[in-house]
Amino acid sequence: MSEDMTIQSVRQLTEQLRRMVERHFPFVWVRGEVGNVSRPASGHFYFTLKDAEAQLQCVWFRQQQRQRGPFDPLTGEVFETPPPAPEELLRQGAELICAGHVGIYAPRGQYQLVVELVQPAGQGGLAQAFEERKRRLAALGYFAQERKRRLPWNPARVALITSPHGAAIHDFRRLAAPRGQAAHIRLYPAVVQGEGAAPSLVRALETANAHALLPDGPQVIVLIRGGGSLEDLWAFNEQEVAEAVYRSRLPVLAGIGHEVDVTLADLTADVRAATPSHAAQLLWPSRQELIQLLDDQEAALFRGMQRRLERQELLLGHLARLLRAHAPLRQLERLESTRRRLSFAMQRAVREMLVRRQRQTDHLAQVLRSFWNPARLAASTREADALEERLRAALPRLLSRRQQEFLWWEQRLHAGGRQLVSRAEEQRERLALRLTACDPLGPLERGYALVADNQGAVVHSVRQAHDGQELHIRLQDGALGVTVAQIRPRAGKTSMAVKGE
Amino acid sequence: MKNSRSKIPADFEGRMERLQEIVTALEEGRLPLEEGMALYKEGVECSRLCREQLEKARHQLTIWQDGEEKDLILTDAVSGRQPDEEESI
Repeated sequence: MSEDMTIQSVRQLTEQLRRMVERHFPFVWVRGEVGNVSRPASGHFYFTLKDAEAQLQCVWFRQQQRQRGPFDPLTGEVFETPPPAPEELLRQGAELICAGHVGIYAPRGQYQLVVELVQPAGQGGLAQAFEERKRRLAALGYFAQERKRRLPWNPARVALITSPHGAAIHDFRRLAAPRGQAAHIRLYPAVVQGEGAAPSLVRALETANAHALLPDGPQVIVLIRGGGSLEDLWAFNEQEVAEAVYRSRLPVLAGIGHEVDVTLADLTADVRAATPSHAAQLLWPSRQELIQLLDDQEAALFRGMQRRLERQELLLGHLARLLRAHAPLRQLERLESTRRRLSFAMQRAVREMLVRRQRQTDHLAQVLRSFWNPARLAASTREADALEERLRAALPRLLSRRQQEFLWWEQRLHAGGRQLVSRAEEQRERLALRLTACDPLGPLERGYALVADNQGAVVHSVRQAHDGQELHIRLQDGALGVTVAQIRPRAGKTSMAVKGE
Repeated sequence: MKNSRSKIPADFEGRMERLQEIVTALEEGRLPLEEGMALYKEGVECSRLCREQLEKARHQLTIWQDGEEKDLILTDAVSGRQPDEEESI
């Protein structure tokens, strides 16, 4: 269905509706009461089905009205009495069950049921049979999802069950041709319609399953039949066929009728294809797809190898570098260079040590020389010897000189002593003489007098006296107190006249 | 991991499986180089054979009838889609 929002024509819209309705109601069973029956010259029936609330337009085309016959086309049931003619069934007010698909009749803008089957209601028709059987098989677990098996991928051996004369095998083969690997498709022919169809299908299923045990046996069963009316497909609704599918050891892929047809065999099969063509598509991937897969694998293969090689190359390069770095010659070179470096260092260290020692030695030697010079030592020794000699020589001389000196001084002392005594003697005598001569009282004896003042001081001159002064005149036999009466200095000289007291 | 010298399978799935196995092994990259090279060659050969098989692929159609297998030739006469054309055998 187109989803664009453009303005559509009535025809376009109706066409869309028609497709939608046909897709959603491909096959329905409807029950209702017949009304408005008409049968124009075309032979088609037009009528309505209705109930209390709704009504449905129905058309029953002439080609579909082939219900006549001694047996039921769907169930194979042989009628004791021939089935009623269509016009007998479509009586006004009759309660009917109609099967068919819903369509739209464009010219009248009307939806309608396109009838395929008509049965009187309450008579136990196909619909009830189908529904009842479906319920029963479902209860038995025939349709259970958990027992569905996966189809083998891209199978090489396929058992095909269908009619060799039908359209299905052609469709299947045409669609299969460009798909999958070169497979072996073995047809197990079966009657797919009408009397004996069900047993024939069951036999084919059994044979294919029996062959599955052989080494070259099929891997999968494909059960197909072209589209047809409900009764054409009825064999696939038979319980024995469903049972055979259910029992199948091989996975079963069913593609029966058109997309809209669902049979019990379809429901029981492991995988259901919409049509025989679809079955071929489900069974095999397209060859282009396979080739693409192969291309992908090849590319992955190449990539994987490329990556591997690149990695190895990288590793190799790395290892080669390592190897070169660890080659004996290189090792030797490295060791040699280390040795040289160490040797230089050692030499330098030794040299430096020697220089340092030399310097130390020089210094010490210098110090030593300054203390320990033989010439200087000899000189010192000589000097010491000389000094000693001088010392030794000096001492006696010093002693004798001191002796002499002592003796000399001794003599001088003796002489001096004696002289001192004699001189003192002489001086004493002389002094004694002088003393005698100098006695102030001596002259007094010879008539001299000694004049003194009150204080005892001798008066030498007239100038020392003043009138009235009392003076003492000492005479040889006493003293006279006198008073100065007159002073008569000598010519040229002041004379003093002493007045006696 | 199968031996790298194992014979390439004759059937398509076997070859595809082998090819896939080889690709996986190579991508994991834990094999010795020599083994890897051998695998690569084998992979290329597998791929070539598969491609050849696909290019030449024709489904073989047979029919099981009367307890034996026979070739089935379909006439292209039936090309139209007549819903009711199915016939009884």
